[in-house]
Amino acid sequence: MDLGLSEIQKMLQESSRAFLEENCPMDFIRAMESDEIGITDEIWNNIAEMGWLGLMIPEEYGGSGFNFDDMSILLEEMGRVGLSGPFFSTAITGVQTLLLSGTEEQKKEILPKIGTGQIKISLAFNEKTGSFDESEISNTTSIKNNEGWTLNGEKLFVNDANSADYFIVAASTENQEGTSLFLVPKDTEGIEIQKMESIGGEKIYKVNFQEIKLESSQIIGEEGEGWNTLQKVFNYGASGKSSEMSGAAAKVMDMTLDYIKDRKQFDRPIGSFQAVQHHAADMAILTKVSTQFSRKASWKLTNTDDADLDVNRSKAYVSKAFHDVCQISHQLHGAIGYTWDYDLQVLTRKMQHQKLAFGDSNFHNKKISDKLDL
Amino acid sequence: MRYEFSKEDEDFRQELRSWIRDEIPGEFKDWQGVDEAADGFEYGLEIRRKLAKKGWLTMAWPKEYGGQGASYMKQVIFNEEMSYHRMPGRDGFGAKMLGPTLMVHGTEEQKKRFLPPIANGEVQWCQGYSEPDSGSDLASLKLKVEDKGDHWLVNGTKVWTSMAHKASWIFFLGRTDPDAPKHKGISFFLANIKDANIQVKPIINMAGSHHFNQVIFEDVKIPKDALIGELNKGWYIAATLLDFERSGVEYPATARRNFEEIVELVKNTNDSNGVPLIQDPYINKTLVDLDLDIEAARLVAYEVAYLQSQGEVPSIEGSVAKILGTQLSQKVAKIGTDFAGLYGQLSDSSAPFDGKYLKQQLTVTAYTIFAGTTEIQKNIIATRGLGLPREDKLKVNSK
Repeated sequence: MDLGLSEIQKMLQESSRAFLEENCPMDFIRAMESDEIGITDEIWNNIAEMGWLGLMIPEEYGGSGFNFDDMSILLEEMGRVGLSGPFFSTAITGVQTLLLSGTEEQKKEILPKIGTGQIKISLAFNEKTGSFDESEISNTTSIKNNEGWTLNGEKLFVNDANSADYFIVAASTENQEGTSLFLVPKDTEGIEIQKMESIGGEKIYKVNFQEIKLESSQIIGEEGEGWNTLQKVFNYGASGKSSEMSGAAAKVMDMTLDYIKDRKQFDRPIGSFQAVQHHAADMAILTKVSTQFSRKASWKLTNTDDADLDVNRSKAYVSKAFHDVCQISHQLHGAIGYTWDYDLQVLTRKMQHQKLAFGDSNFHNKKISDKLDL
Repeated sequence: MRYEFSKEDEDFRQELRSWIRDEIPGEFKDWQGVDEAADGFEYGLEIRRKLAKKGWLTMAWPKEYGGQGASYMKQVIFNEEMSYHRMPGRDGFGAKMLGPTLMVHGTEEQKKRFLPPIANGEVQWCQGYSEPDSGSDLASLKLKVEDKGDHWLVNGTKVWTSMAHKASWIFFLGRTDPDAPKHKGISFFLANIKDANIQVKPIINMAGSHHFNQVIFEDVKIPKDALIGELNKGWYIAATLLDFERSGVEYPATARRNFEEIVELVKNTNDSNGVPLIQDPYINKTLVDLDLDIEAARLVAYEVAYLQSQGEVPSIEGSVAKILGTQLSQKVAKIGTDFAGLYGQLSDSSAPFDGKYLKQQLTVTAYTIFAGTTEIQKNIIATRGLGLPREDKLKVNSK
């Protein structure tokens, strides 16, 4: 049992915090909410140069070959400043899908360019019910023909579709037997994207695939075996979002402590009142436990084959806990925290995406119930 | 980062677990444990002596005192397995509190006299701290100890003294300088509780059990060498905890066993339509929430032990573990009772587990109160952990 960070993780934590605090302050984050991409070319290039995009890409594909638990430390820091943008879609779910099931050619072609920041990836999975079960794929089909497949269907909640160079599309196979994954360049004829307005600055799109002609080399993994891959990718997604939220929760707590130490009423800092202190203690408890849950999940994903239950527990707990942390923080900030100009609300709005992405508490609660055979 | 125990630690867990399962009378799944403060006391002592022979009772003690200098993680495993298996025999007062205190503050004579019986599992100690007017504000305690030249004279009352009715010795705090600031006039003493002038009066708790006592000292004479450490330094001596883990892992470990038992019950109990209770979505969700609470308490307990192993003082984590663990105990007891429907109010054999969880619910009400209430723990987190100003120390310019 070693609950501390490794030397590499400590370095990653310190260097990323320093970079993000300097380069991605709240006015930048706010500006990126209305930006079409959600990140500037300059910052994107910087994070590519620092090796963040290729952090989990093996050295043979030009990356630095670190593990997901290292990445989770970086995600905590991104959550801390509230940086969204196409990083997660590309460097987490995009990279993991290719690593898990991509062909050698696909990996050689795509991974090095992800690492250098030239290629962005977006996962097109969800459809109209918005769940994370295989039954979600109800209208996207891939019909096999002599050259490859024809893809049809409409995807919803596709993150960063506008900035992506490639989509990873989940489609049902002919006769509805299983799911297949395809690597589809965005400039393929027959793709239309349409923005879905979200409240946290996430770039979320509806993507229509009409009569898309796919070559046989565009499938990722075996035909009909895509769900196995996706379940693993969703684990990385859920664990990664837990890490973002535990980092963000720590930031919300810091902001709140600064405020209640400074704000005076009845001639004293409001942080001296026990009624306020007990709220603060509750935030500390929720934040501490969130960090433990999310780090354990990322460690298990990295080092074992039986991480499912810990990922479910992490996403179920942290999604709820971070919501509670934001709620308490608003209560302690009083009226000022409720204003558009005060930065707290930016993290509160982003929380709405983070807690829903890759399954909300309710979804993961049901998984826990299944895994414990309840 | 590594969220698993070492091979050596896991081997120890397996060794301990198989030893425990051999010791348990009858089937493990039916084993309900015993009440060590009542008729299970003798059985508890028997197990304690066996633990002593195995070297596990004082595994945390340094080697020079006959211990193993066991790592914090090994201690956590010991506590986790003992709690999960509802095993009696651990010695919170002697081995965990007084022993380490004597090692640091006792004279050679005191160590020679008092440590071996603790290490051999032969003696039951109890702790006299709280008084009728000194609970959360313990340093305001009043029990009077006067220096009479060749002995100390003790007068006053201790209360909520667990195990005093089973103990042969008591360690306690007394006021030795009434004029000094409250923390600086307290000293640490030992006394044979069988002294004719010490009266132990039972306090029956609302579960109907006898755990607590009132201990009344009336002109009790104790020898000069009953003082531990320096005079008037008792407050600080009492804070000595040395190398024992303080993770509170016993709460989630106990809760996990109870969780499994309750799950078995609701799987095997049908509602009026013949559907197993486990399929009730509300019950199912309640159990998932409980699983998360158990995991939360366990993760924080491990974090406490980890920080201790790094030589850090886990003040905030210790409080978090205590809050989560004790609230968890209350939650489990409530769930174990509520699922039984109308049977949940019965204490006879027609109730699930003969009304055990009902009784537990009454017992664990005390958990968020003893050893620092939830409110005190939150104050500690806020002031020591988060750096918020203490309300009672604040100088306010009133107009």
